[in-house]
Parts: sequence; C-alpha cells; structure tokens
Amino acid sequence: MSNKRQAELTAAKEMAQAYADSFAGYAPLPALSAWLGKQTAQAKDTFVKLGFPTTRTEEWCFTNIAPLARQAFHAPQKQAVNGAVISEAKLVKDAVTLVFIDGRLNYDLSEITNLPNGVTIAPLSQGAGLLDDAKKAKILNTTASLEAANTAFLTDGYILIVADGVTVKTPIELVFVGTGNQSASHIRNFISVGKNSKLELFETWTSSNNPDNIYWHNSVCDIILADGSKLAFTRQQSEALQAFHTATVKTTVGKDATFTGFIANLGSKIARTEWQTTLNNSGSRVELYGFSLVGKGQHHNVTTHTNHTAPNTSADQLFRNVVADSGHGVFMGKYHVLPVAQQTDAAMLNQNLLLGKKAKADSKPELEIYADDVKCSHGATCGSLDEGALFYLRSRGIDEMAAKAMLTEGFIDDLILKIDNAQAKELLHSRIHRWLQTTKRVG
Amino acid sequence: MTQNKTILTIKNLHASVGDKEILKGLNLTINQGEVHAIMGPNGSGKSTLANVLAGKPNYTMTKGSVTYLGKDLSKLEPEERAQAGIFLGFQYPVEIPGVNSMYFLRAALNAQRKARGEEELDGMDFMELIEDKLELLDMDMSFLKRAVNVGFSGGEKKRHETLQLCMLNPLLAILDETDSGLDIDALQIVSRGVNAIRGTDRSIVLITHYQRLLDYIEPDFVHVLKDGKIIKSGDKTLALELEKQGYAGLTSAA
Repeated sequence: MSNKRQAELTAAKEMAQAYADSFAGYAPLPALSAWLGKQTAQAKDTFVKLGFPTTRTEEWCFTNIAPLARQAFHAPQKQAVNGAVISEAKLVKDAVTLVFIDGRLNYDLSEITNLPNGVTIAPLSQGAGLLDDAKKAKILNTTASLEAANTAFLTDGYILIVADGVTVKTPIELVFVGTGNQSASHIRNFISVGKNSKLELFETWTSSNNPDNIYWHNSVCDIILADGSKLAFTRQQSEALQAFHTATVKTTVGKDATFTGFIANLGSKIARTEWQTTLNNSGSRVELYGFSLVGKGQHHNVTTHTNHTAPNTSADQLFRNVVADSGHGVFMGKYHVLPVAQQTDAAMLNQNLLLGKKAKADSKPELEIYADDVKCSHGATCGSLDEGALFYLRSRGIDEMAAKAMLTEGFIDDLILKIDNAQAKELLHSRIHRWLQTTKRVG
Repeated sequence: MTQNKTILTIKNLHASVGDKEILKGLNLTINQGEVHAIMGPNGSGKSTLANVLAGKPNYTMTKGSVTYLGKDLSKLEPEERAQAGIFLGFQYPVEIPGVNSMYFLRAALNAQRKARGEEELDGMDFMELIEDKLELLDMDMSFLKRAVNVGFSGGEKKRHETLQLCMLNPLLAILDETDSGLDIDALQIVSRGVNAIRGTDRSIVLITHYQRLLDYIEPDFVHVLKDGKIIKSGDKTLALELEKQGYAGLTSAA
C-alpha cells in the first residue's frame, strides 16, 4: 500500500471517528432506539472502521467526498419552515404528502387526509414495528460506510406499505427539507408494494430557501416489489447549492413486476445517488432514467448496480447530464448477469452534454455477464451541442443563445417523457427552463 | 416581370466549404416577385450557394459580393438573415430531439417578429395563424406535438419545411431540393404551399435536379449551374431543353 493511499485511508477513518465523536451524545428517537437495539452501536463501529468512502474505492473513484467529511455536522435541531417552501418545491400538487424537516416528520406541513385505501404510511419512528425481524436484520446488515452511518445516527424516515391488489390513484410525495445549520439527517425509508399493486411515488429533496445552507441528507431506501406490481419512483434532488446529498435506493423486484426509477439532479454541492436493484424472478424489470444539470462547483454522481439473478429479466437505463461551467457529472452503471439469468435483455446509455471548457464528465458503463444467451448493451457519449441543429434553429431567426438553450432543453425534455405524471413533467420542465435562463450557462 | 425592386445581387461570388472552393465566380440578380430555378449536375455548387446565402458556418465567401436589400449579406449572422426575410428550405432537415414543432415554430416566428419590432404572438393567435396552413399542406394538428423532424418520413420533413415557409412568410425563399425524396402526391402538396406564398412581393429560388418540380411551380427564369458558375440562363423552356438533352448536351452548346 502506497504512503499516499495509506494517508488518505487514515484521514477518511479519522474523519469518521471525528464525526462519531461529535455525535457521541446523540441518541435516536426513543422508539427507534428501542427498535434498533444493539444495531446502533454496531453500525457506529462499522462506520468508524470503514471510514468515509475515498476515491481509492472503485465505487467512489470519481467522487471525492472529503468536502463533506471535513464538515463539522450537528444533529438536527427543531426548525420552523414556511409552508410556501413545500408548495413551491413539490412535484405533484394534490399528492398525499409527508414533510420531513431535517429528517423529522412535520405533521402541520403534511397532507395525509386524502390517503387512499390499502395504503399505510407512517414515520419510521411510529411504524418500524410493521417490519418483521428478518426484514429488519436484512435491512440493517451492511458493509457500506454511509449506510452504516445512516443506521448509527438514524434521524427518522418513513414506512410505506401498499396492500395486495391496490392501484393507488393518488400519488404520494415525500418532501425532505434541509434547513442548514450544518445539520446532518440520516433518513431511512422502507417501501413495500403488494402483489399486482401500482403506485406513483415522489421524493423531493430541497432546502428552506437560503441557497447557502449547508447540511447533509444521507438516505437509504429499501423497496420490495411483490409479484406483478409496479412502482414509478421519481426523486427530485434540488438541495441547496452548498448542501450534500447521498442516497442509496435498494430495490428487489418480484416476478413480472416493474420498477421505474427517475432521478432529477438539480441542486447540491455534491450529490450521489446509487440505485441497487435485484431482478430475481422471471419478468422482473427495472427502468432507471434521469438527468443531471450540473453547474458551477457542483458534482453529481449517479451510480447503478443491477443484479440479474433469474432467467428472463430485463432492464433499461438512460441518463443524461448537462454540465456547465466547472461542473462535474459522473455516471457509473453495471449490469451483473448471473449464469442462471439467461434471456436477460438489458440496455444502458449515458449521454453527456458539455457546455463549457472546464465542464467535466466521467462515464463508466459496465457489463459483467456470466450467462451465454443474453442481449446486453451499454454505451456512453460525450460532446457539445450539434452544430447542424444549431444552424437549423438560427436559420429560422432564433438567436444563438436562445438556440443553444432550446437544444439543451430538448436534450433533457426528451427524457422527462419517461415520467407519466403530467404535473411532475410540467414542473421539471419549468425547472430546467429556469436553470438555463437564470445564469448564462450556455455559451 | 420587369422593373421590380432588386432583392438580391450576387457578383463574382467565390465560396469555399472548408478548404475547398466550390463557387467560382457566380453572378445572379433576383428582383422582387421573381421565381428563379437553379439546376445543374451533382457537385456543381447548388447546395453550397443555398448554404452560403443562409450563412451556414464553415461555408465561407472568399471573393465577390452578395447584397441583400442593399446590405452586405456576409456581415449578417444566420439569425439576422432570417429576421431580414431570408428563408432556407433544407435539403436534409435536421432532427431536434425533445423540441416539439409547435414550440419551435412559435419561437422562430416570435424571434423574427421581435427583431422587426412587431408584437409577439400568443398561443391563441399562433394557432389561428397556423390552422389554415396545416390544412393547405394536408397536415394534422398532431404534427405540431412531435419533436422537430424526429422520425419524420422524407415527405413529412419536406411538408414541415413548407409549413415553416408559409408561417415565416419570407421575402426571399431559397428551397434546396425541396422535391428530392418526394412522391408525386407529396410533391403536389409541397408545390401548393410554395405557390400559396408566391406573390409580387416575394422572391423564390428553387434549387432542383428535375424539371418535374417546375411543372408545378413555374419559374420565371432558369439558370444552369456548373462547376461553380452559372453557365446559361433562360426562361422555363430551358428546363425542358435540359430534360431532353441533359447537362452534357448543354455544355457542348455553351
């Protein structure tokens, strides 16, 4: 081991230790303490032993989270947030809504009177008992450092259960607001969709107005889709520009069930979203889509890891990044196809649009295939705007700046079509439009 | 067809694409209300002329002059040329994923109106304006919701170009092989659109390989372009002559 590598690992562990020390007096909510039992102490040991992830680990090679690790974070304090923040940030106006301020449920800002039949939703601190011990053990057992931190310093989260045979007509949206004050919230969510049931779920991650807010949202989400079910899960990451966002979404997809995940990356100084998906039965399907608008000083990482562990499963992934100024976009994706997973049909594409000389994109699509009768593809592109298209627009009288903005918008808008919900589509469209208009990012 | 205002004057135009000189001393004058057909063999410089006039990057004027409404055209950006009334109908219309046709057309029209100091059109006014044009071109409203040229058939692309022509209502329309890739029905429809905008105040340059288009849009003048120069000009009978003899026959006569 080289000295430099050794030094980096030591620093990562020291920072984890420092983090643990500063939270020495922290105890989760009583109900969660009781539920977690010894897990809290074990997870803390694991986190300190592993340290914060470093660029020396394969999964983090393009993403340096030292700026996060160096922060002196505190446990969340109770903060008031104006209701306008929520209505402004939400993707779906009339959704059933739970609001979490720095990781703690706020009843007053939530809207659950329209909760449809067959749906149970509760903060984890109240609903954790709904998970049996086997599930709990599986969920909490981890070898990943940020997941261990999540368990060790758990703030709260939500549990959402859809019974069998229910088509949930009203979308559900969770809004997580960071208020700043160097607060770190560790949020744990659990979602279960019953047999042949359907749900549209949204998560919005945002801040209470001040764009200079510094905070950390570290979330882990476990999803189980029963046979024949469908979940469309759209995550809007529009955190404050100095905030940190790390998320792991772990999904197990049942027989003939489809999971559609979408990530809209807009905010944060550093944001990393990891989608881990296991397709373990015939007809299991995952669709992962998303875009990142990466501006000055921002870093967006989307990582996918998809396990095909049964015959006849399928996957489709498309991620597009627009990187402006000194932004840095990262995509890492992997299809892992076991010998038994014959007839796997999986496609993966990452496309990057670089709008400035300093803009940077890294892409690492991978296939690891042990079956011999599969159809798998992967690809990545990186480039600037199409000159032919630019001339076409200009030849119609649209000036160069507007034409560039229009093409950039089109590049992303095309992807938003993957979202079914009209309100969410419209809202994301306007966010993109505003992103392109607010500063001269194109040029 | 005489004594109308001169719209475009091209004098001894030399132009290159990259390092390669394509136009080698081209002269042409176009007056208001005139329809000029430019014919010629492959590689003679027809499309280059169209692209140079529209201001395509990498198409450079190296010598001579092009004057449009008294202004030096080479000084204008592509969008300024469009705003001043020049329209290029593309031989190969470009696909623009994610941008629907309605959004694109309205943005183009309003950009031009704004540049001319006219009021921008709102959604309602725009729809009113486009309705009968769609009908004229046998196009459906659903067309407007599709991404510009994405997945369009050859005929749809050319009809879409013609729709833009009718909506933008230019002073000088340069139509680059609008007839290529069209079946006879589509050719009739596109010609209908072009004829609809034809008038005493509008000038049209038709670039084509075939006489066929000229059966539908009758030109006032026909020019033969070869090796970067106009080698012969005449009236519509010249096109018929070409159809019989081919360009080779003409060269020996010229």
